[in-house]
Amino acid sequence: MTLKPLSSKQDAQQRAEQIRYFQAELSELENENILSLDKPQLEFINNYHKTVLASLHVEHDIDISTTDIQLSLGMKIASFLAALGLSASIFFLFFNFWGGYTTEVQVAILIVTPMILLSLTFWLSRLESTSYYSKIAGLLSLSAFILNLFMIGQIFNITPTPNALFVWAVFATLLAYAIDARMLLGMGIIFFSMFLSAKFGTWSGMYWIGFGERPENFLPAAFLLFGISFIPHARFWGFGSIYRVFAMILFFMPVLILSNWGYISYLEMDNKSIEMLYQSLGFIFSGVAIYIGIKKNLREVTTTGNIFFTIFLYTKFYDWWWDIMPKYLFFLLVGLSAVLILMVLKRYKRNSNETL
Amino acid sequence: MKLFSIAFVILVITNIFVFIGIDFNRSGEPTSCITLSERELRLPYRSDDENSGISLHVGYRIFSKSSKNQLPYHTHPNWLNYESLKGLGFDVDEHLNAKYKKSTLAKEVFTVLEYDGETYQKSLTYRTEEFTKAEVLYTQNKDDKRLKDRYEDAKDELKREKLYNTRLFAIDTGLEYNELRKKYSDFDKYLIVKALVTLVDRDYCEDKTKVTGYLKNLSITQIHIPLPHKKELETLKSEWNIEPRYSVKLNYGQRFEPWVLEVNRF
Repeated sequence: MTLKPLSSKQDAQQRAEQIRYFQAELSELENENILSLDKPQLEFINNYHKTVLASLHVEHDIDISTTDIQLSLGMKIASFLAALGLSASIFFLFFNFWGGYTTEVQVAILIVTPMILLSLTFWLSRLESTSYYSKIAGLLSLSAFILNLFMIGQIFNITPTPNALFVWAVFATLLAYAIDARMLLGMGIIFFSMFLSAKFGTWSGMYWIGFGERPENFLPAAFLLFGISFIPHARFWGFGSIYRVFAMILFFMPVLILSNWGYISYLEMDNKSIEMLYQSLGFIFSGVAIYIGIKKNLREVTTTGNIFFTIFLYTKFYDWWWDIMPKYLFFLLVGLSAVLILMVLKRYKRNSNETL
Repeated sequence: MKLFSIAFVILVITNIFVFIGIDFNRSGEPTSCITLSERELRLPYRSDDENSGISLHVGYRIFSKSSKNQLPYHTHPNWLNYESLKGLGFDVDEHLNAKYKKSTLAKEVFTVLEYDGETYQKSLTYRTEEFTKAEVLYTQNKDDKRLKDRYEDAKDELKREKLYNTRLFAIDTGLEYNELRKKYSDFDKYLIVKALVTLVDRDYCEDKTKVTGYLKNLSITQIHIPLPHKKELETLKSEWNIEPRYSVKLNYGQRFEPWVLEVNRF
């Protein structure tokens, strides 16, 4: 029997879930005497499903039962905490002992440590069927590289430069793709956004460290990341979502800030007009995000759009009503508006189901 | 394998570039060479048991009296005026004529720090004069508690100025190191380092449409002490109103980044 190959872990996990739901529904139909398969047919189907699940588990390391899913979630949390704890430990370990070493020894430790951890990451990625340990090692090697440049900067009193952000971004992104690690991709995106924003800032004539003083510096990174998110990432589960979520955060956070503090915008307009402009952009784009998310079945886009639409809406309510009405009335209106949104969404859902 | 190899190469190449930069900074003649005391290079205010390294904080002041009632120690000197800000590349006219004022963004420029020079003497003279004025008033009316407090404060300020406060004063800024060094050629007395400057509207200016410059901070505010020199300092704790206990000889290199040559205990 030749099994149909699946290109990505996401497809494999969906197939496994499809099989579980089929088995659950078949059991339900049998209990209600709607359908009853004879024993050879049932055995044949069960054996086929067992073969498929075993093959998917070996090839893509997916969860094939509810217990697996729950354990996987626990393992993910544990590996995240392990990576954070060990990374922090590396920093504090070095801080604790570096003063007792000569400059040559300090430099040697700083340069060699990320190399050793990178080699360990490579070795682990080849060794284990599950990737938790290699992801921890990957995050540790990024931490060690950050420590490497940061501490050499301290030891030799080097003037801060945004180029360090760029090399950290490239390193993190390479490792993310090498070991399929979404957290490393997130770190790479953060560093890259900071680098690009700093560069846009310097092109406008400011010193790079002040890039956060003009939130519009983050918008080019937002658009670039949103574009990248539509490059197919079939082999890398969740990478497209990560790009989209970060792109939306990098867009909506500056818009939210500028909708309240127009003073720090590049735009040559009065502050009130700038704030109104960005408030409008906030509402329009969050609405567009919700629409695109629903249409293209991009759950993270819909959710992020919803979150920011809500923030913009309630910020507006606060601006209009907080000072002019008693608190109980303000919160009553907030609650009623939420009920109204719920009714609208429910009606939309009903219409959508009727269409089906 | 390919991605790991590229990551490894990035580690190696980045460190190579960093050390090329360090080597370049320390090559050739230093751009500044000076010996400062504890008054100018302070130990960390709080001791950190988790950090065994020591970095000294570069302390400097500005002395500039723009008007009669204004205190002379602040971060927006009158020599950072319209002309000098234009010279630093700020579009001052655009800022003054802008319909909608914006917070201006900082630029990195060179600043001249004078050590134990004319500006310090002016500061000392100012404190002496303030003390003399307070002493005369107090002598004439010893029952006035307010005058007594002012006299005591002035006495403390004079003592601090003579013995404890930093003698490093920012006196000028510019875009070109060589031009500033021609003007301030004494290496023992003038440090030329990088700093951040921005421009602000000041309410206290007599002409309220004027702008002034604001010296935010030096680009490098902390100087790391390597192990051989650290031993001279590791038993010391940061203290404020004491006479200096050490001196540090520094060089600043081609990239205006400092390194320590000597540390001497007094």
